[in-house]
Amino acid sequence: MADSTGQAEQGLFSRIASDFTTRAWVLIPVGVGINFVGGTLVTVLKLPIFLDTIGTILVALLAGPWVGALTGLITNLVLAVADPTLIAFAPVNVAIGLIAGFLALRGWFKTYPKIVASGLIIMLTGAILSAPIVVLAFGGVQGSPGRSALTVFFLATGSNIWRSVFTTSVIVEVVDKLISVFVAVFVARAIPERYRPQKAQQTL
Amino acid sequence: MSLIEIEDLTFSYASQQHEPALRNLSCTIEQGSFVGITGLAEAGKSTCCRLIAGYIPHFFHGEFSGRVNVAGTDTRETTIGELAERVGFVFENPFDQLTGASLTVLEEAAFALENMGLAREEIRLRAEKSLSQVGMEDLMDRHPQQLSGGQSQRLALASILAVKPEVFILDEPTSQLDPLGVEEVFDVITDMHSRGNTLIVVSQDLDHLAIHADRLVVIDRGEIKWDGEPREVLLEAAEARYPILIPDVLEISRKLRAAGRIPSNSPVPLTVEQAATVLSSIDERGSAAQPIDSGRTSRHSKVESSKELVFEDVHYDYPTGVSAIRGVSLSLDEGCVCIVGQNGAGKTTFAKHLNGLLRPTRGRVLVRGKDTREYRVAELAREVGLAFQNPDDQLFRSTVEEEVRFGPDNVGASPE
Amino acid sequence: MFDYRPGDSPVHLLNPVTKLAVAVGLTVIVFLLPNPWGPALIVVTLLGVAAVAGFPGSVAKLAAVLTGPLLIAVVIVQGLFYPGNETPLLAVGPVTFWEEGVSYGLLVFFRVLVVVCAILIMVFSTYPKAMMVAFIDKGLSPKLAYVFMASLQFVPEMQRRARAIIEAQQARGLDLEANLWRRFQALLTMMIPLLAGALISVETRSLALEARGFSRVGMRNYLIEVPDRTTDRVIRWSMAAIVVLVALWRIVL
Repeated sequence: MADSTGQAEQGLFSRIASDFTTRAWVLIPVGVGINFVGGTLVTVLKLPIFLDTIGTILVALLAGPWVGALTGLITNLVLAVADPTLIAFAPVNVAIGLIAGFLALRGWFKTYPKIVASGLIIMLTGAILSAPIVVLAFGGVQGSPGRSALTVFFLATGSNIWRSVFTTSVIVEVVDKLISVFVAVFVARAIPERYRPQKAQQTL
Repeated sequence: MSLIEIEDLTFSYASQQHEPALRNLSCTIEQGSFVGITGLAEAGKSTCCRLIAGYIPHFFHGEFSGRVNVAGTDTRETTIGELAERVGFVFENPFDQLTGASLTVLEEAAFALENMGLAREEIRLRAEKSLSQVGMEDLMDRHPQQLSGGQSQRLALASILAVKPEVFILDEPTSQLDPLGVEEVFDVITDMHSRGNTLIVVSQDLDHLAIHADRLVVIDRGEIKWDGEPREVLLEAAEARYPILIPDVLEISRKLRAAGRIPSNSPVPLTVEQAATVLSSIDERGSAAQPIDSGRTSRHSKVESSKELVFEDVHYDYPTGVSAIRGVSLSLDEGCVCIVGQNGAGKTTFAKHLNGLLRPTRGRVLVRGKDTREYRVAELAREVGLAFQNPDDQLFRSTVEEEVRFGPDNVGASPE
Repeated sequence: MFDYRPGDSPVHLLNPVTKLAVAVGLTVIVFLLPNPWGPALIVVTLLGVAAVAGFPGSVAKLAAVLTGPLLIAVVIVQGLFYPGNETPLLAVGPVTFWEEGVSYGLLVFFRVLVVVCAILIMVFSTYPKAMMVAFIDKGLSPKLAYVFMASLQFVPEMQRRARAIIEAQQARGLDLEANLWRRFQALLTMMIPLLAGALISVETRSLALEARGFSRVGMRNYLIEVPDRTTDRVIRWSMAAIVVLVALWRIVL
């Protein structure tokens, strides 16, 4: 692209600011809604996954890491209105947006093996970041009774609390994040080109 | 100088570079006029609107040659935001164009004024005034998501009226509305015109547009095909058998004139009233003027007992406490039955009982003898097909074939 | 979903920024406190504040629902596996609950409960738009405020669309009791139209916003006015002072 050389000379701040077009701003509430509705659909369909970060990943794919990160932040702030404990996990959702966006800019959502790798990287990022939050703020406990039971199992078999929480996270979220990443990619590709933000030309 | 001047304009969208959306189009629009624009799908009508509002080239990119001037300003040398204080725009979808961030109708109408940094009192006064201008003064505290399509579209108009632009562009403002909504919106439009506002309205609804506009432009493949007084334009289009929906009254009148039934020196009637006046003056050939009233009186179809579908004293109360159906008893046999009624009468609730999406709070529903309370929706779907209002909610597959197979696959039918 | 309960109590009249400052201050304090008693006392105080605001039952009930499972799970996890466990408290068959762990578990629980109650009180007593205007007055970007408000509205809207799609699918034979694979396929067939539709609506909305001065630089003014009184400033400075005192006490002593 013609202006890509100019971009390298700009400061980080103005480069970030240039991602926030009006279209990007409007995309954020949609991403938040998608994060939420994924959870609704899996509840209705009684599927054993969460799908609560599809919106963050999708926005990161379409509009870049910074807009994706803000989508993650706003999601947890908005949902905190109904469940304040979710505020604590805002950093995780922000990181998922950032990582997904940077992976996307480097072409890691273009082929199937790379999409799988991206899903795993996103999952690990989430697990690494949520572990301290779960251990320090929630005493090692988070989410469903089933998830807590799994953590108790690891503790009982001799792992320390950090390893137990981290392993629980990885087991519970690996399928979830892989599915989320694929859904996000399918949806992003299903959008007709003229409706995509310009950033998406680099990522899809 | 005219309010809007388009000079020799050619534009192709970046996504369709070889197919210009507009070709060498020139057009001027005067202060205070009401210009209707019509034409086939993809003819370039919306492109025209976007040019005047500056969305082209500031939002939609592409190849641009020629010049657009609005109130003396070249649209290329300004921004959408600045132009918006002169050009108000109403979009087709009544809900997508609301900000989505307001909790009341009044806040929504005030959004642009807040951004303009006006004084608080003036924001309130202007927002309230524009809401009363579109007849929504009683709905000011309503949540915008609870509005009907017509109300929503009027709210969009109000929020633009509050800014007091010099020209209003309405791009297919009624194509997604029910008949009542269409009337509401055209009432507001004509009222705005009578107050001296300049209006550009794109619509396929020539029944309404041709009556109210004082100029009609037909765009065809990016060029102006006809431009003039609506009646003359439509007569020419009808002569040329151009495939737009000529209003019935005009079409009938035209044929009557061709057949010599209406004198060719008087103007061809366009409205029902005009037609009635012209036709009633022709006494001896009364047969042509015989009112085609709803000849048949409505006939209550007699309900016969049958086992296809039976409602027995069905009541349904929504969890919110609204009782949507109260004591409905009927039975239906083969054939086609239409359910009519006003919004909120209970038609949808009734329909959702047919396949068990809703189950009666009291009474029971039998579908071919199956009590809907005892079967899952998926099982009843074998017996009852239900089509919903919003097609986008129902169609999921990328090809029509996959889409058609989805239902039968789910109920376990064989490929044939 | 923003469950605002209109009212004119002293809590309602506070500036939203003050309520947030108190919530943040309390969060810092409870994470500095070493045992469950302090946080428990703050919870009682907060329920008193909720009573003044007129919704003690709602806060208590929702907080209980949100943190109840945590209470059980954290007492089990820490009561059994807390590294500093020394004093047996209760033995149930082969498992022993330890005093130190149970105490730590209760500390975690009450900390979380304080944060939950403080935020719920803020949410229940604040008109969302007033909250945004108050934050904008303190320097929040109007665009961020827009995004927060729009997200708040869009979540229930998406939920409605999802319901409509599920119903349409059920009418065509989608079985919510079908096997896992079929339900999973159903998920994808619902997701794509739902999401693609929402994304396409973005174009109209961005144009409409742009045309209404969304990107305009310069002064803005708002329909509603959110006063910032002396009381507000007093409460905010006191909160800051308390936080500093608690921090000093914990570090020095």
